[in-house]
Amino acid sequence: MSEPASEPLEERNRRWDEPFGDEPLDAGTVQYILSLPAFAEVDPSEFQSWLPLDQIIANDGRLRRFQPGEVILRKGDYGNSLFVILEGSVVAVPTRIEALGQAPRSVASWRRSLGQLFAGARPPEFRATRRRWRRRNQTTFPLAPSSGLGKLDVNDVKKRYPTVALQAPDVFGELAALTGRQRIATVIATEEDTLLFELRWQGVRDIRTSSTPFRQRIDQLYRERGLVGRLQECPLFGHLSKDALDDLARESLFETYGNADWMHRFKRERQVDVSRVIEQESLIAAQGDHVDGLLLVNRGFARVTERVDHGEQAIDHLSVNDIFGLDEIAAIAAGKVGVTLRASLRAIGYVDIVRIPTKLVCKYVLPGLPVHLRRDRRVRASEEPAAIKIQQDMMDFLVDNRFINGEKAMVINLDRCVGCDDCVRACATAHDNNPKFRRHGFSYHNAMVANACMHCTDPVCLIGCPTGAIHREEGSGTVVINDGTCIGCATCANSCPYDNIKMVDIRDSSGAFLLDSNGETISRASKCDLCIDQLTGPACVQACPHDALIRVDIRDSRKLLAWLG
Amino acid sequence: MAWLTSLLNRSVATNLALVCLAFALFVLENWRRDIGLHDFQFFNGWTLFACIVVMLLLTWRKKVVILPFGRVGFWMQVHYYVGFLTVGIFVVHTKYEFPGSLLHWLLWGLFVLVSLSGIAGAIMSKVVPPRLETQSERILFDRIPLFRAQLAEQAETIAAESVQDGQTRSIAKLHSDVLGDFFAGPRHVLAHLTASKVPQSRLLGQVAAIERYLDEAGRERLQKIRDLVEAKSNLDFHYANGGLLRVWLFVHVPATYALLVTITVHVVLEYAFAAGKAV
Repeated sequence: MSEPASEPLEERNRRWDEPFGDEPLDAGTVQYILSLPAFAEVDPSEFQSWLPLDQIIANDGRLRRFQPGEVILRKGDYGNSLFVILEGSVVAVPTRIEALGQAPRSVASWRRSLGQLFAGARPPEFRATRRRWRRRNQTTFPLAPSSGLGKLDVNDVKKRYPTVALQAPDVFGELAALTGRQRIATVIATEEDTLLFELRWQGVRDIRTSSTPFRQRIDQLYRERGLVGRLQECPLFGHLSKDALDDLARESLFETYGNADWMHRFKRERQVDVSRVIEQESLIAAQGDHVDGLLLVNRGFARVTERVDHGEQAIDHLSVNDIFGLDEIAAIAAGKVGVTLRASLRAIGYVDIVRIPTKLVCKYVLPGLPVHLRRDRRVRASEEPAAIKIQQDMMDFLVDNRFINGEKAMVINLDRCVGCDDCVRACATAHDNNPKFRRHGFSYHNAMVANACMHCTDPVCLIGCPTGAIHREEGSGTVVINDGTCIGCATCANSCPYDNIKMVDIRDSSGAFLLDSNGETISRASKCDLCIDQLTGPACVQACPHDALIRVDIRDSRKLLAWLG
Repeated sequence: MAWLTSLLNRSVATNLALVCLAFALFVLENWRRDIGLHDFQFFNGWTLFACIVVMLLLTWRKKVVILPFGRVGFWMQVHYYVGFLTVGIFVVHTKYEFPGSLLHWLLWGLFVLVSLSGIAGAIMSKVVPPRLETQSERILFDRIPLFRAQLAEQAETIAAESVQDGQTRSIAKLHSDVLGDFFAGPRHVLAHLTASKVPQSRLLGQVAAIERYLDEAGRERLQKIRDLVEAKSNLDFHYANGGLLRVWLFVHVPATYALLVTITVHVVLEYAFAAGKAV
């Protein structure tokens, strides 16, 4: 029997149905912002007619006002936007300020949860029609609310921590906006009524794509500030002075390996023979090659391999802030001659590498380097107890399938899972009867990585989203979809290398499919949101009666193996 | 016996010790009331009922899974250990005797049924998953009928092809005599529960017996049939063992509700005929 379909009720979502602010910025404000140095060289004629520059600024930007001491950004939180100072000034504090505590959680309430539990049954994938939804959101505010991150004594902060002062019309926050990673500094307002223009990441991306001067300016900032920040984050450089870090940043090279569209080919290869994906991985450095600098992984993942007979054996995998080649450079510094790389490094997908010249590593990094950081990862790994040491076959499974990307992967212990589906039911309860995952997936021994969003370190699903509907939640970094701006293009679902995003056709309260003006059904992307709006955290984990399900960072192999038993 | 080793780890021993302690305290209080000439049956009866209510919290916890009342896994542990305590209190409540009336026999029978099915379920939930894991990839139980239908269709297609294209009738005959029925539904459930491979071996023997009558193309078809038989056996294994993990709940849960109703009747009758007794 065919599903019922209703008369056209609904318009499809459009790019700017939900402006970043409560209202789009007015024309005068947009003109003022475009006259700022950050945008002055951007040529509006370079933009597509359906994506005009002034509309990007108006809809993807918002104004925010802060008072002295108010925290605008917090180091360690995930961010999706860059800021331009319009009036006043701020200070950036690269050091973590303990008094600020942890990232805020999304709003969850007993009232909402109880309401969900006792709500009447609704059709699957029910959505309120746009008309109703718009009425609900008509309240407007002249300015976006402040960050809610708290207030600090600016003078005290300046005394206790090294700070960098920024003032109008400086730009900050570009690193997180470009990479979707954590903020590298805490930023605090220092003057009365400090006025900021905040541009969300999809706006940054679109202007950067269309305008070469803007791209060059942002990339230059990224290079100047981002690299020093990245080096400061890496424990290997923790003992270096500011001057030494600046020297390293100046002399280092940015390199990229692999293909940004790696996921499409990976999905095809995975269907055939996953062990052959290594053949697609670009070689960054080959075993036996001359040691040409220390390699620091800046973004993405890399596989360390050794030649065995006619193949390559994965012996380790590297991610952000991991390094390659230190042992060889240490050998050179110790006076050995003829030192070559003992292993190869391959790009898993798409990798950004920072290459730090050997002479600078010998000059700055090796002297004073703590002993535990000097020791080879392989030697350290070989000394670990067998129970927590990852076996070769398990490592191949996790790396070949690229599960190492998962920060909150759903792993099911098949020795404990009785197949009761309580996890699926709990997920449905938490999402208005729409479960967001399948209790099925690739398995190895007693570990099954289920088809649930893994909230990846490098979420490639975000890259192509035309409206920015799929994004990282500020603070927690959880990858979520804004249903109000998802246009159902399926770009994210096609990009997800693990098939963890599904497209669903939405329905009205009678269960009939909502149709657009052409009579076609309207799709939305749907995936696990880690129950971000629930009091309990992931309902699947809460619900498992046999502790057979965990959400885990796959790279935390100690925790994973200890749990798998 | 890995499950037994894991069952007897330190936390389990601690929890069992706590259960024993609680039971000892209960027995002590029961004895104190006995020598105090109170009607201790009301005390141990209500204690028994309280334990049953605590065990029922597991069901309620599952229903309100998005409220922060602790993980269901924790409540499952509470269910297990309070279950042990409940059995002990029940034995005391029955005065170590068999019942003397029809209602009491019903109560006794239902309690034993609930307890035994619960213990069986707890053991199966430890034993069966590792068995399923060792038998190839885990299959979603609800999708087994779909996979079975696909296998049956493939087997039928091969049998039909062997007649139309291969001009042979051995495979088609084997299909109509044996394989058609084998692929039609779950088979050899008991054998799979005891992990016996005998029925599968017999079937593969019948398949092998016709190989001598076939040409090269026929042998290739027969190999496909062999693969399908093994895949179907694997499905049956998952159906039998996965089904076991579901079936016991169809005993445990209805029996629990029947027990609750019977307890209510029991309590009403006891109070109705307890006038004048010291409580």
